[in-house]
Amino acid sequence: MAKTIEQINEKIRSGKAVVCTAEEAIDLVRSKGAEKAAEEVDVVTTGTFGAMCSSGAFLNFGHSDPPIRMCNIRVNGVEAYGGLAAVDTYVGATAVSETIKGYGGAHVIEDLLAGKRIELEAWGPGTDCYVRKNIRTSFTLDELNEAYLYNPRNTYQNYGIATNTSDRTLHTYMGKLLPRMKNATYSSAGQLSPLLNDPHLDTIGVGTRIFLGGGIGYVAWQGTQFNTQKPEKNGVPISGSRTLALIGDLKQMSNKYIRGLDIYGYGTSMAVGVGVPIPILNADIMKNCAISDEEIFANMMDYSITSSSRPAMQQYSYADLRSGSIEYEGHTIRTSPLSSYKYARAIANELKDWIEKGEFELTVPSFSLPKESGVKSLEIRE
Amino acid sequence: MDRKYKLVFNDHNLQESITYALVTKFDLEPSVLRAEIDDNGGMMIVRLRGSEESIDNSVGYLNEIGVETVLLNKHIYRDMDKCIDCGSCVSICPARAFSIDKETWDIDLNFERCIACGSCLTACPTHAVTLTI
Repeated sequence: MAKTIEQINEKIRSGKAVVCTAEEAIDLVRSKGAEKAAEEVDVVTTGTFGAMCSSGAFLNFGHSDPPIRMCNIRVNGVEAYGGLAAVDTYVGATAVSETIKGYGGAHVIEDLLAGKRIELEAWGPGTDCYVRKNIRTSFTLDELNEAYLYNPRNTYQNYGIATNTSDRTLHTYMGKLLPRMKNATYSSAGQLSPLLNDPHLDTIGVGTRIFLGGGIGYVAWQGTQFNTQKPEKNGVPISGSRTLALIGDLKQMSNKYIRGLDIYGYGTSMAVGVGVPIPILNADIMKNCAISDEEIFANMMDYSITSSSRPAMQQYSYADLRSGSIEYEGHTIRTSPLSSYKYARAIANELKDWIEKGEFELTVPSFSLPKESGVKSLEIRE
Repeated sequence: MDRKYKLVFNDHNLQESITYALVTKFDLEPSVLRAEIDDNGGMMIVRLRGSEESIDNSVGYLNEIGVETVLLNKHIYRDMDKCIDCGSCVSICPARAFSIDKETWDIDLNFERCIACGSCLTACPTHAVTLTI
């Protein structure tokens, strides 16, 4: 029996919608089968909370008197983009402070959410319409006209496992990798991860309403490096493939689910909390939501190889990775997650709560994301 | 009982056979968890196993020969407001002081195991861990 999103929304409005998390969906489908579970369940909620470097916020400061066309902008000493209209800017998560070590754009965004006052310094050319050449002041999130997160690449559908075969410790975006394969790190939320529960994006598209950083956000576009061509196992890709570009009002968000990160030896990044609701329109969609860590696999790669194309060493399931150690050629490697499963679960539960209370309705996507898309590399030309 | 100490040596006492003395004079079972010593002195993290009286006496002896002793008790501080329970600290800890609760996915810290090596300080992306010694 097929359902429509409008029928589900009517149930949400009347407080009768049945919602479960992607973790709860596993046992439900195992015990009742996908057909029966799909009749009972209206929405499955997912969650993830990890480093997503391709993130940032658009801000509008409002005009000073006399006004300035800001070209060179610093917020708490972090460079913000000066190539937009006079008092618009974009603070990128990975931009780093020139004065404070380990502080970057992501920390500015976290501080804004904490209600802190941010120092602003900007310079402009001075024109007939914008005579001021420099400005030094401070602002809070409340004082901004608009502040919205726009993250060009979030919620990677699966990702590789990192290890290090060399003799020295490596400090990477996949964390600290000890010499001679003493450890391995992985980042996906696995069975709770949004795009692993709707692997071919049957329900997620442009305009899908989501949980973003503790507030309501939307899928804005396909994420950068969106790739549909990766090999699959059990119906899901075994390496980084599809991604989402997300947008949402920063003023609704919380510094619990948006955190500045300082990844030693790499730079700053931002932990972003994302939860995507999946409408259970039919049994196939329900079946996809029941995928478990035992069925999701990822390839381990050696990060001491500096080429961007690293060969896969071996495949492991997320159940293997979550056990705390894996075996490779007779060698035991300890594993660490880099994204918080505790927070991923909290996000899926919070979104479930919103839907059950009738505070969050689902949207019909404006259009689908590409069914076929590859990723090109950058050629070095003379 | 077990107690952990940080022992600080200088160039006058670094030739002393400390572990030998701890075993023969005080009937202790010392276990060197970490050592960084060169010509100018250095430090050692040592776990002493034995009676409370023997451990106290051995500390007196060490101080007499000029070795500075620092009792290690919760020598790292974890700021729970900063910690996001990601788990980056788990596999890099040589003493396995961090572990994951498989029910709640909380990251647990066992202070008894910690050897104050500081490896987690550079692994933690939110600067939630600081060394207090």
